[in-house]
Amino acid sequence: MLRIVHYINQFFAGLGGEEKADLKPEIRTGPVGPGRLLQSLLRGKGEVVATLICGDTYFAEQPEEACRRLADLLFTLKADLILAGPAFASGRYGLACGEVARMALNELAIPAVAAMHPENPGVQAAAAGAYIVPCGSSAASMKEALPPLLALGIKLASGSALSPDVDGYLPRGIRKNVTADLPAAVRAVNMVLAKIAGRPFTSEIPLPQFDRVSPAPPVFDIRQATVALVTESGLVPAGNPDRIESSRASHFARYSIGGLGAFASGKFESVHGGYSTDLANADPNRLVPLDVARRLQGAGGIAGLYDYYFTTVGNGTSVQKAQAFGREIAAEIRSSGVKAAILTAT
Amino acid sequence: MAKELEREGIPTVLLCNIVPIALTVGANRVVPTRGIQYPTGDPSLSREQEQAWREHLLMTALKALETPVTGPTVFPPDPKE
Amino acid sequence: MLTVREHIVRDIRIGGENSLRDGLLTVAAEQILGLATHPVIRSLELHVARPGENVRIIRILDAIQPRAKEGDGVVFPGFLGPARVAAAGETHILSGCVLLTVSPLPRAQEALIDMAGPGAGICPLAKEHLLILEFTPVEGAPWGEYEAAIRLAALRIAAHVGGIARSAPPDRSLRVPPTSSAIGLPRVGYIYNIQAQGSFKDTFVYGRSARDILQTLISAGELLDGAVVSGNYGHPSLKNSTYAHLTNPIIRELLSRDGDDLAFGGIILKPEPVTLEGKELVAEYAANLASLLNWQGAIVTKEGGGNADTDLFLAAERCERRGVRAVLLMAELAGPDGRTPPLLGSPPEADALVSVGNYEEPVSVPSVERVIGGDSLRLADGPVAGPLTIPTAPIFGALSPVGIGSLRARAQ
Repeated sequence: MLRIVHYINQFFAGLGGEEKADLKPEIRTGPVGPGRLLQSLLRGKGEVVATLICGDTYFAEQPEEACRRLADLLFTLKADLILAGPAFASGRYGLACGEVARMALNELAIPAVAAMHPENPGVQAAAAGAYIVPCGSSAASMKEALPPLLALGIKLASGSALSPDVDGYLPRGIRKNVTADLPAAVRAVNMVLAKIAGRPFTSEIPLPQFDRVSPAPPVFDIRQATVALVTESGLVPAGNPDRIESSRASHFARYSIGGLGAFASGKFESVHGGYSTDLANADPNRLVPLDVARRLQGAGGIAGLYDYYFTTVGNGTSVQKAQAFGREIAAEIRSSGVKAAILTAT
Repeated sequence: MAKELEREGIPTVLLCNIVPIALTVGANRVVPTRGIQYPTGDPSLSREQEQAWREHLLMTALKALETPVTGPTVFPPDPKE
Repeated sequence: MLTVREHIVRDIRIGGENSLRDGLLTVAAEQILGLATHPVIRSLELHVARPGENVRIIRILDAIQPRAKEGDGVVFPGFLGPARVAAAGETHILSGCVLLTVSPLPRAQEALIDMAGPGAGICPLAKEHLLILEFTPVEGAPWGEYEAAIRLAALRIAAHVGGIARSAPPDRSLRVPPTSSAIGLPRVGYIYNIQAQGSFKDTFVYGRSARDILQTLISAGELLDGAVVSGNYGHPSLKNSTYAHLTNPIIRELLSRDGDDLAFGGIILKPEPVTLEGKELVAEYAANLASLLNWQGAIVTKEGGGNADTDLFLAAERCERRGVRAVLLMAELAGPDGRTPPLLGSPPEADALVSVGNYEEPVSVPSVERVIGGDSLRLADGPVAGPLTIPTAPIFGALSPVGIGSLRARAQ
């Protein structure tokens, strides 16, 4: 018998509206509100053993604390499945349902599904891994909203393989390798014929949306500034002492350039696996312009160079890794009074 | 990495050849260079000419670091240098 | 018109004679070893690995499908004979059988094939009977010279083994016309990017490095005869091995549908320059050729890592601007957990992408009984025969840009 725990807000629990929205997480035995309808849909396949209730404002203002309390309440329930909502178009309720579904699945490893309208801001939890089934925008569609929520939950709890196309949930932004039904060549030719004929086709890879970073303010007078040299060209001392990988680098390294006037061929080399490194190894200053930077320093063009240069390989390196490298480097050089950075990339 | 450094408030100039990727990813100060294999060089030049080119690239980069920008911006070096 | 005589190999044996009977290929070791004598090659050892065997192969440099011309023509023109365009007469090919070149080579990225288990499930070469050529260099041999020597030896051996099929009846025959005669159907061509950057990252066309070429037209028959050979040892899963050039599934699909629902518009063989200026030039040039050839659509494939994505995107942009509808094949960099946005910046024209899988998804493979190719692994710590968890990236051909693999990534 499937043990189901249902998450709802104060309103659907019948405890009150906005005036009760700061209600802390609490638990009721058995189904409450829409949970009763869920129970009747189950027809013996499972049981709504408990209902978790939390005020929308409480959740929105301290989501981490709310999740922690809900996780504590879940601890003894031995739930096989958690269902959240439906939240319809209610924004704060949707955020809570999405977050509860994400937290249960990712942190407690309990299958969990939320339901809400596709334009509810709570759908952002899908990108973080939550299963969310779309539903209508108002509680008038409760009867239509519950069966898909329950169906997906039962399938998820059974351990069956799922896909958004077949099972109707919102794409979770998680890419997984699968064996294709048709060879890539067949799919490509089918797609180009559809494109030529003006028939609809779906790109198999979602098109990118990168976050933008507000530019850092400029250096007021570069002649007064100490500058750091950073590279993702894989330039390392000969022998690659820190074993930076030629692709998919797992780390970066810093090496002293104190007292060095230029990078000497033979003493430094590139371990980058993404391009032919002969030209760079013949003169490593082609990757990191140490020789000219020193000359400019001598001529007063910059106040100084940071004592170390930072290096990694930007070849197949994940965005997450590159972000972590950037943050660590920034922390180090900022605390050393460096005012700007020159980053070379291959 | 350029973005993270800028996010942390350190103006960062990116010298690279593949400018479209740099811009779409959102690097804010970009100086285009002549080849993937040699961001601060040009092996087709004599040693002296290459040094002069590198110096010009670096001057362009330093200028970029002194320039306020509002979003991804390209600072082209003078191709005649 | 080229006629391909396809012979299906169901097992390989190393023995005292050369024969192909009922799918059993027997090769005489002595003759093969004799084709690999060179001052920088110390030794050549032969191994056989079959689908489903509990064996792991490492340090794989290239894969080649054996073939030979009927009569006095040559395969791999420019290497094994004059650089003349043939694509006529008859070519015998051995399918189900692949030669694998295995050797230490410092600049090669580590590649791996497991013939059984989860690693085999995603590796196109694990479905083939492999005749493995394990080379060792003489001490102090210049690596560039050594690489050229074993590449040439492997091509000679591929032609020699292919020649064994001459006296056997083929299982299938296929006629490959130089151009399409289909009319009234949408004209679809193929823009075939190859990576050629110089030593250890090179591709050869008629025996010459394609490093400084502008793009050119080439026919399916020329590729089937071995006009394009790989000398690229980066990205084992993302490169176009010689096997991929010889068996390119895009070309096969376009050939097989020619006259049915499309007219095969031809193949533009296009380099991937290492400067943006160069990349823009070849993209523009390829798109212009495509429109001169009246293509209505183009399939575009790439070779190599991130900077080759730019070649795909620029080709799409320039083709679409001329009204040539472009579809791109791409591996994704979606992160080990599949949560990273899978693409670097792409123009709006690149709106039709076929996925060949996520490069970074980890694969766990169990320990194996036997390892061919070396006794240590640069990919991971621990014993080479032991269980491993590695990204998909080193698995040879798993994310093939021309689609010899079977993976795709999907939102889950």
